[in-house]
Amino acid sequence: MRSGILIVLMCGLAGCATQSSTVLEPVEQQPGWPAPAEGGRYPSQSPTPGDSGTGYSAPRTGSTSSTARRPATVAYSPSSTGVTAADALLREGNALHQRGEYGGAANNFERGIRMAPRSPALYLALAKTRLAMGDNTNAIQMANRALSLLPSGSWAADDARTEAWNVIANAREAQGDRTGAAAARQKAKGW
Amino acid sequence: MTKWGFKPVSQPNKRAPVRRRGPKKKAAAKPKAAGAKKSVRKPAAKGKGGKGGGKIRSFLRRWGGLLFKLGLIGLVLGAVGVAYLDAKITRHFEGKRWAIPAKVFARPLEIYDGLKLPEAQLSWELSLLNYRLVNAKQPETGAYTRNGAVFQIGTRGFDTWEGAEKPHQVRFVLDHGRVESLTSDGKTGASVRLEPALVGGIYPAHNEDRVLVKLDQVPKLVTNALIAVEDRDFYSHFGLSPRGIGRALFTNVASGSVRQGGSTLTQQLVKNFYLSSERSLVRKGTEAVMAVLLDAHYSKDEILEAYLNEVYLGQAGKRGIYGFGSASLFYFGQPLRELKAEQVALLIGLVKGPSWYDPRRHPERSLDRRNQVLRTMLEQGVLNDAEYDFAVKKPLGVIKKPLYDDARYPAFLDLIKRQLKQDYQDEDLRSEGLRVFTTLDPWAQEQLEKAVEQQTSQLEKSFGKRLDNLEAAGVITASNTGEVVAMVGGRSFRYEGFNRALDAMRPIGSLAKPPVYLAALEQGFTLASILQDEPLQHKLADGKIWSPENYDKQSHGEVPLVNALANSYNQATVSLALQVGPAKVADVMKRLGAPRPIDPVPALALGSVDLSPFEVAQMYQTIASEGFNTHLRSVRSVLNADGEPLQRYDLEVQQRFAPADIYVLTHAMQEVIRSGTARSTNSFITPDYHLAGKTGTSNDQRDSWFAGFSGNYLGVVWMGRDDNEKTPLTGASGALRVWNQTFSRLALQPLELNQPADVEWVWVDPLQQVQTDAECPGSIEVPMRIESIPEQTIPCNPGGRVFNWFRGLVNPE
Repeated sequence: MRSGILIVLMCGLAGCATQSSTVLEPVEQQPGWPAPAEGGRYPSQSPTPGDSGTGYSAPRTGSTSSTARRPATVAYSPSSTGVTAADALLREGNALHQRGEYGGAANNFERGIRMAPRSPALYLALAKTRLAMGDNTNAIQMANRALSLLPSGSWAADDARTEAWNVIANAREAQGDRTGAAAARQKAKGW
Repeated sequence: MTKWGFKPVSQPNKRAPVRRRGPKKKAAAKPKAAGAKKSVRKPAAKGKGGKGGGKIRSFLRRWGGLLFKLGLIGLVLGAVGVAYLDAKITRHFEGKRWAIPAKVFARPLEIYDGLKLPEAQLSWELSLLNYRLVNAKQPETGAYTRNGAVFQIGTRGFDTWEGAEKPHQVRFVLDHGRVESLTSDGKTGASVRLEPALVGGIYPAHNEDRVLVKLDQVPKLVTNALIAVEDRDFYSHFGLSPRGIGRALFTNVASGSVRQGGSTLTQQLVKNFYLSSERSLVRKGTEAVMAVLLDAHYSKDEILEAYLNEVYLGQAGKRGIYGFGSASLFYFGQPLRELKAEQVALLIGLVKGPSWYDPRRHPERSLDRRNQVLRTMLEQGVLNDAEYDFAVKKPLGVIKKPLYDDARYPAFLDLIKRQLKQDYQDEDLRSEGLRVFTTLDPWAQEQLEKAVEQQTSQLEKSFGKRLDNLEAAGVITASNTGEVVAMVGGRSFRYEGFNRALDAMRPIGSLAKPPVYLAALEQGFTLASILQDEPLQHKLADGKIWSPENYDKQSHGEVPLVNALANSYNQATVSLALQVGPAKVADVMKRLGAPRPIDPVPALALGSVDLSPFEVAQMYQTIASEGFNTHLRSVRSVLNADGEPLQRYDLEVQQRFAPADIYVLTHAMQEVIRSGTARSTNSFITPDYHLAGKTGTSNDQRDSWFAGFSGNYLGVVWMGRDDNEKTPLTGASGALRVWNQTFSRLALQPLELNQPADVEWVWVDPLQQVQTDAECPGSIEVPMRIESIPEQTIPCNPGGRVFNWFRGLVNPE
């Protein structure tokens, strides 16, 4: 009821595009925007810190007035994914890996990735497990994915980068790619 | 497995000689075997004469020889008949008894601290799984309590790839749509999974639906009640029950109508298993023989278990509901082990006539029957007085519609069938009882469906005669892992039919622009590079002149690359594509995940390539996950009928682009929503999520597209007509509306990319290609690859030129 009145008011203010011959063409102000269904407003979403499941909560620059937003520099921790339950899966997965139960370990890490899909720690762990399983191709790719997610500028992240490059080096070696392995080792030292 | 300690598989005849005891099969066909006699006599007695009366000795002497011979022939014929029946029994009973359809499950809802879980979603998921809201200190399995923001759930547990997820007592606080202080059996820091909803099956041709139960999983209450009502002497008779027949006869004669049948459970099983439903003496006789044979061969428990799974208990459209396992789900939405006395009684009452006592169509009749069964249970000592009094007062408690329905999400089922057919025989899917765990997120699915339904009809209403027969399709994926969480194949999304999400190949229009700009970034262009948005004439290979126009029929002069993309300028994009080269653009599309080779023509820049929404999602997936291509997956794992793992589909990624280029491109796509053609999104979802996307409109507005992503979801929506006629819609005024509504209802994570080490944010004056101070007029702040940042820096230049694009209002598309 109330929303109905609201729509009428909004229509009035916007000159009710549907009445006139100008039909809602490309959206400018959305004059004839369809009313939210079920008689209400769309739930207006607002993010909360820690949403991104990155293992770090990035203070938002929030300057939506400016074109640009620089993500803040962030910290990395090898044991933290940003989601407590995913941390537990990471721990359990590492324990399984230690015992040589690679299938179970990989399963844990993938479950963790669903909860914290942008956690470099989980991808790195998965890369190591794939390497141990002899799945060199996927080990390399997972290590690359971890590298793409690692933030710059922290000792812990640099250590993780070294580990990731070492995974790549070992996997390439196992694939018989000596040159590629050497290049990756060089990268590993570079951090 | 059997009493006799052998386990045939398919050809019982070969095994016949192995048998040590019991009535003969093929061996018995060669008569005179002493052991055959006992059973042979029976049909003779039932069928026709083998009996002599009180006859004269001389008669016997005269005719004795002949009679003996005739008797012998009768015996042989009987033996052959019995042997035949016996073979028939064992073949069916010991082979694969039923074709069990593969069952398809949604993803399990995983709950943990910090999870965004809108209350509406939690309630919906709980009701989807038929959890009962109760008032109790500790909810039992399958129930939950709610006290303000505090929820307590007795989860059910289920088989998973890594083993069984056990039932738990779960408690948590739902604080403004966020899970907090979760404990599972008192432990903190855990995550728990509700069992995945059953969303469909892959049914065999004859449409029998079954959920097998093993006897040790069946509550004693069920078996005791069944025996009390249907066959009291079950554990003591030999397949037939003379006492039962007598009792039935007495009851029927006393009441003057047929109230009770004398059939044992064994006979009923034989009838269902092997015989037609015809009513004749011959059939009755055969049934009796086979019942005795069955009883001789197999243990009571084996027969009971088979009965529990075989009996017909209802009809769901063209699908028959067979066995107590599936009936329990069909009528109560709960597994058999959770059922209460009154629910058990209802199911057992149905044995007598599933359609006559159908609780949905004839609730009163059904209630009477249920209470009659409860009464019998009381009389037979299955229930005590208190239990009876409690149960008999309960309402029927049948759920409105079955939890699962093969028609609920047909487009998604279509998708998983296609994926499974790569690895499984069709026959196995329909008969082996596989359990398929998919990536479907039913909440996201329902949101997408609602949005398609509401927005398409709204549009048709507001455009009146200018728009009808509008169709739509959409795909949502988890943007980081490539798991498909929702799919709608058209406006009639409850009906199987043309699956537009997979099979509608349509020109992608401006959705081709991000690949053009990505190709340019790889070639050293930056977001601050200046493009000419001017009328242009390009001579095509066939000699014709191609002169593309902008959507607003205007040209915008010199525009920075970022604005050309945000506002979807055609002329600027074509000129860029010609500089970069169509072959490079086609190559980028291929690496993004385009399924087929792409024709490298200039018109590619404006989307002259036909793709399905699913294929578009596959390409945009690579952008949404920072340049890593992932096969879109719809199945996580497959278990066999015993819950043992068969196959798992791992997460695999492949890096196709440098993170730096994707980071820069993503910023431009965020501008599409912040200030460009998709800015209407900001009225639905706060800009703090920094969503990225691209609108798409094909030639003459035949197709309306939108593809966009948050930090966790990617959605692609198409709108248009099946006959490919013109519509008055653009990407923004059509498909984007569905996307907006859907994404406003999902638990989003903001899109915050990790800034690669080789990228920096700089203020640049695009016209002079120099760095400037922050906020200089005409300057823009953009991320750039370090090597392409202009070296020269100048302070603010107040009297500089002003962009054409900055003047006046920009018109999208």
